[in-house]
Amino acid sequence: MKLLVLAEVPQAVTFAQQWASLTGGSYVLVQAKDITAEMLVAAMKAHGCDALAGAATSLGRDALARAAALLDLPMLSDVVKIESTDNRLVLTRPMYAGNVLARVRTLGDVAVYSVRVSAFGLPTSHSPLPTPLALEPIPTPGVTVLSLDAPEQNRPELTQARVVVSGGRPTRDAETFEKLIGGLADKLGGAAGATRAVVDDGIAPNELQVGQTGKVVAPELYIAAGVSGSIQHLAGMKDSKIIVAINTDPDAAIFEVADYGLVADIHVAIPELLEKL
Amino acid sequence: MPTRTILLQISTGQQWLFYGLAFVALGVCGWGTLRRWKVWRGGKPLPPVKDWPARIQQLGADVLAQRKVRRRKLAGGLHALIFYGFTALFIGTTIVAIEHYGALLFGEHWFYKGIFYLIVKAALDVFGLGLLIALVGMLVRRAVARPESLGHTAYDSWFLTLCLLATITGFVLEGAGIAADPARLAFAGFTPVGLGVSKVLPTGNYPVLWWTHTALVLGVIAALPYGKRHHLFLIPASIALEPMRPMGALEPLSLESIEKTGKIGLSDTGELDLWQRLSLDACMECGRCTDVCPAHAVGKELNPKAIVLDIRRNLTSGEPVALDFLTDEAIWACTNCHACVTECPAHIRHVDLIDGVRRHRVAEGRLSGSGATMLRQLGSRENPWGLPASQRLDWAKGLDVQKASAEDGREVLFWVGCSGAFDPRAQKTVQAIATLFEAAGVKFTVLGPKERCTGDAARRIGDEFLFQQLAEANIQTLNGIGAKKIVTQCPHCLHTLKNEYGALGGDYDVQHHTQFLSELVTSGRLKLEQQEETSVTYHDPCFLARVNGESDAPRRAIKSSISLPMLEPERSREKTFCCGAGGGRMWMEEPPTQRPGKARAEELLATGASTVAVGCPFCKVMVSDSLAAASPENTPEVVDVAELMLRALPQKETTHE
Repeated sequence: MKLLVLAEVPQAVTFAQQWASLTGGSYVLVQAKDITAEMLVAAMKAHGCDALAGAATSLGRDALARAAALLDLPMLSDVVKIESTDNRLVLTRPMYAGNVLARVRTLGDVAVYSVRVSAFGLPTSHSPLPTPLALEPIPTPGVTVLSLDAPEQNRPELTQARVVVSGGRPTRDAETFEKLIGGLADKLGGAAGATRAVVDDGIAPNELQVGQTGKVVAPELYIAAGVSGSIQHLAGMKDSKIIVAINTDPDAAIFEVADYGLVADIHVAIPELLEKL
Repeated sequence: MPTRTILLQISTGQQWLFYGLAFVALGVCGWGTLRRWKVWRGGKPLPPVKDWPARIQQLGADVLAQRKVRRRKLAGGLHALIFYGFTALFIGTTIVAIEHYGALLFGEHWFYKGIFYLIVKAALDVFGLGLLIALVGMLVRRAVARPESLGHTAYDSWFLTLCLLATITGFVLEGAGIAADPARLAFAGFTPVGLGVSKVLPTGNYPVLWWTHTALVLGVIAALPYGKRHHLFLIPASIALEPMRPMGALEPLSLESIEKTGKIGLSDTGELDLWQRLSLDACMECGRCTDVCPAHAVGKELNPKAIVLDIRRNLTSGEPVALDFLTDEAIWACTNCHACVTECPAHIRHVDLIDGVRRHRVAEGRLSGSGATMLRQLGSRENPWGLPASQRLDWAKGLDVQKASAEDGREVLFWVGCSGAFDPRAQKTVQAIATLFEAAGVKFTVLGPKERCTGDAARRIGDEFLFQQLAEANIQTLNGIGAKKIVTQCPHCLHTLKNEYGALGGDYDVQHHTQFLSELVTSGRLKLEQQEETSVTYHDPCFLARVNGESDAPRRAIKSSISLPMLEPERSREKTFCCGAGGGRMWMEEPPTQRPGKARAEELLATGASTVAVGCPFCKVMVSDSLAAASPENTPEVVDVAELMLRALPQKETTHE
């Protein structure tokens, strides 16, 4: 048994080590840069691999699922645990929006796995880990990249950030938004987010919208500044671990879900906070 | 004795020629009317047509009384003049025919004479004049006003001109008849138009005039069914055969039918039944549906009339044609507000067609984005926001709210709805309702964590199976506790529970909270003190005012809470303009310029009211956001009718505020 591992993050290697010790097989690490599903499939053939694994990141979710389809293998996504029962692999993964954890087995124990980064620690190893192999680029058939126009990223991506600072309508204009929301996000090493109203008014770009029709985030710390807390916004951040709300209206719905609330004007409170941090 | 000679100066030979031509004209008319017979019969068969008294009543209202046509004052008025004009002339001609053929048995002038004759003549004169005026008006409308939504072909003006000429020559003939028969002069005052014509008419050749008029009339009869004018026969047929489901109630999709056909929803034209085909053919292209469409009004691709015409065109071949000619953009833009259905004089159900296509596209996996996310959350957590059921009673903190059971001795079951349970804005509504119930001494209970989405969100967006799954689970819960009377805070829950659960085995007496609360005020159980300080306008929710025909109860409830007269927005009651949240649009993104709520906000702001009352949690969200965007300074507050009532409740014993 041989596992091809997309070594984007070290946690994927941890999974591979556990897989190898349970199956008695070995694994091959490959580099994640500019990877495509076709490259993974070719690498599996070249190295004689049976199964494929990687982390459930944006890249992993995309490439692994495509590879599973090309290989006609079952896809097990968001794996949080791997064990062995009666010499068969048993994997645990959340289902129904995380309401249940399912323990599943696949026919022949070969599948494509995407694993939850948070569920696997760093790899334990006495000897240095092998260097992941670089793969020959194979373009995705039918797709030609004409140009790449990526906005300048000086902050972490919203859905990946540990801290998110979101601004509502009181941010008034792009400059104030950047100064208050962006400033606070930078101080905390987090990402900036915005409500739909702010995006509609052109104060913040579309990619920053948090909510039902925008990004769904669950950071460890969510700071809602001048956000009233409509259901559409709550739907996008309700799973955040700690929610801090700053709003002038003590009856604002955001205080219902907040762990810490501050009744204050963001134009006063945030500059003060920036000074003290 | 006032009467007239029939077929004056028309020889027997000419009469036979007339009968021959009339036979041809009727044949051409009959063929034209039934030329699409094969298209209709190619549709799925209808279930047995029952409920004839209700159908006849509907025909009386919408055909004879021109109920829907008259919703447009000017065009509808002109149409009514033409309809009644032609009907009167048809009856008049029938009377003449009865006299003429009856004469073979009873001798000439046996029936059409005396007072009766004079009344008929006077009536024909008046209705004929009305017809003439209306035809001129319609020609002017087509030539000058040319409304954009109105379909226009050369045939339209051509046919109207033919009708006009036939009407004019009818009056000329009347005048010539008076001129040619001096005995009629004595009572010609009963036909003032005919008399007037007789005075200015040079002594004409009566048979020539008779033939001119006859030829034109036969021409009208022959041309009648072409160029969509067979609506004259098809609209009554469409009304007579339409499904008796209430407006907005979709037909359940059965697993057996899918197993049999392998098809889910409207995939191609072959899935359209006989009535749907008939109703599409009955479309007169008046464009009223498009005029009232909120999605069209904000520049989206949806055009209800174009959908009707596109499907109709593709029915012609007789072969099933995939409905892919309807774009995804158009199909998903519909808010299911039913303004088009309400307006349509031909009783076309545009929304059923659109939702049918949605069923097919959802089954094909063609819905993506936040709408699809909502469906996934609805499937896993049984509410559209994917929040845990354990939080469903969070709104009731500090209130005395009991959970329902079979033996709870309740008066009503309060259906809180997902929004009432989870949306902070709607929570205020349900808290107000619960407090008002308590004040009125209404014993109510709630399902709490056992309540699920009614399935409305799934059904409108096209996931019929998820709807049925949720509905069946809810029906089991409701029947388990012996639910009879249910009060909802949401018009969408109301509609689904009241009009759609019946088909799946759930029959309940369901009321919207404004209905139940206003009844409590009327019966004296709920005592309110009218407040003075606010000026209030009310935004009618589509699913309450239009789909469920209730626009009085919320107004009564508002009146019981404020002493000032209520301000009405430009479009209200069943003509209300959608907030933009219906039909699953609540969960879909759209650019700020394409939000119906924006247009509605302008109308609500124009009333100058400082408070906008609503009766629907989705309207509350959309109207609040739209008002805040349209008027960032001095934004009117948006409250539910129940919150207004709560403010008018004496003794401040509200515990949650």
